[in-house]
Amino acid sequence: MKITDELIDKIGDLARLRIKDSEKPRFSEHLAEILDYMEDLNNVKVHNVEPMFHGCVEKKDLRPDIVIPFDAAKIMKNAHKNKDNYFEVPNIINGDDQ
Amino acid sequence: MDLLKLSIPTLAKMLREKKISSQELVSFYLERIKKHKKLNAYITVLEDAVNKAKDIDMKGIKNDDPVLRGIPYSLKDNMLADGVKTTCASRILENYIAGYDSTIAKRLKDSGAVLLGKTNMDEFAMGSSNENSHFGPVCNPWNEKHVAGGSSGGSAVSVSAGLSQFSYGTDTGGSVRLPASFNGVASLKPTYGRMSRYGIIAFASSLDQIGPIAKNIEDLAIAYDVVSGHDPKDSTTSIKNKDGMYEYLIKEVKDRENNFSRKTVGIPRDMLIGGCSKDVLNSLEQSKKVLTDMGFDFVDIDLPNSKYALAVYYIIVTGEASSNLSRYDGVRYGYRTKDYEELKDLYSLSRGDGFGDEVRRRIILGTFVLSAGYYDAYFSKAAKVRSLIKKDFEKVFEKCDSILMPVSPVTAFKIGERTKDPLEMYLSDIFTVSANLAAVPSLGFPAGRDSRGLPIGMQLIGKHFDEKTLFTTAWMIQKQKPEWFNNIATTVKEKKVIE
Repeated sequence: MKITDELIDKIGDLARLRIKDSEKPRFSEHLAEILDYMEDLNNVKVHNVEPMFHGCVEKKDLRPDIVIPFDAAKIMKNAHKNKDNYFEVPNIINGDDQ
Repeated sequence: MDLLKLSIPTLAKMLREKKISSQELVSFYLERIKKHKKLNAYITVLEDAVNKAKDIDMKGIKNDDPVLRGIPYSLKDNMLADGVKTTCASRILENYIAGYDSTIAKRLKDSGAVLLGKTNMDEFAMGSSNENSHFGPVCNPWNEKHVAGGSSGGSAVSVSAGLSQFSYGTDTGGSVRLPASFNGVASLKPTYGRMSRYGIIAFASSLDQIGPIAKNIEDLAIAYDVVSGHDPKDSTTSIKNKDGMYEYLIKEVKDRENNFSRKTVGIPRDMLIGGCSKDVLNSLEQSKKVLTDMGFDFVDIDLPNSKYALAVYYIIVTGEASSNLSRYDGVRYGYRTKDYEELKDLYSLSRGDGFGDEVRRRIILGTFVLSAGYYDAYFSKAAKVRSLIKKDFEKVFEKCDSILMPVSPVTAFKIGERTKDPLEMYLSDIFTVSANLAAVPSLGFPAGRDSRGLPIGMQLIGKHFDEKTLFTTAWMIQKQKPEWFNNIATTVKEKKVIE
């Protein structure tokens, strides 16, 4: 499969992941090679086969939906900025973050 | 006395008889970690472990205490341990401090085992050689020019180089078994649902399982026992009772060694044609002979859809990863770029700079296979072929109790040898991914060394939740071939220097 720069741009945009222009030829080449390898799957007939989306082989056990207290302050130590245990994040409306 | 040759039960006995203290044991390992820093097995070393050990010694170790009390271990750096840096070997989490214990860390803490540190790995567990770490590659202690195997390379080396008594990695497509086989140590990828994934940094949730790594089967069983079992915090864990594998091995199997009920082992010959090195094939025959001599029967089996397993795996794994890794956006925690004008740039530059090459490649591939227009042809198709692969195993297990095959077609390759071509690297997982896709357990065990002195690993794959057969079989192999087990690479080399 041919991987164009446009396709890399489109996927990069969907994934919110910057791929530099200088990296595109390498990424395209590797993706094409991997996707060609995956073409093999065209040889398998899967008519009436149910997809397997998870690894569980038995019925699941559900727990009661009860709030268990958690030390938020500890988690918040990883925040770039935090105020009263809330994340303080860059301004997302105008793009003015400071 | 060579401490590195001793198993967990022996150490536990010595601790109770006060022939050694936990502090001595922990200091011994911390010294060795310092001495073998070049192997790059650890990302974070916890010097404070000595104080934890001292505390345990002071309180004393009683006969009915858990067997692991006072015994040191290591954890892969994608498992949260409260207050300890957890990087996932990524720049994006370089300074992340865990705010709580994963279930595995909690269960080990409750058992009194002492955490020595967090081991190096491929970034986000994506890799087969442990060359994708933000903190540099892990070296194979048997030959430092060769890879440790990935993605749990640091965990495997921590055991094989004598830098920890036992360890844990995660196995999504072979990431515990492959490095263990490259290092000459034993490992287990349990049935999906045996281990809690709570507090483990997610890679591909339908495949990820924690697995223990140890230098012999009794240590492996103990390491498995302490962390496995149902966890209300992970609804995918099984409610089945735990096996108590170690007790089972020493009480049930030991007495019946000579009249162990006959079991049948399958070998998927078609899968092994081409690609496998001569030494690896010879080793397979040796394992087969050991089992045949003990009365096991062998049959040839066919797993017709396993030839598609690698393609299926890399579609599913990248799709799930692209979704799981979307949480790293530079907004709340983790690496954030300074160089942005609008919100979208904040996301894409933080992620673009924060993730390494292989992680970005997999996010791109995963986003592609899930995207409109391609979903049916790739992700949905792969999920259906995955069903067929699982059915193949169920069918095969109607005529055999376990499957014997190599973990990898070759032994540890040279550092840098496969990094230029990602597909060639992916092919390293060709014998391991099927067990993850089918959710069945697989136990890896060391089976001698190749002509260059590098370890060879075999695996026994079993039925869902039938880890017992795998442990029993491996335990019996260990009885017949003790020279395959308890080998520490660095001491072998240190001794050579002395000679």
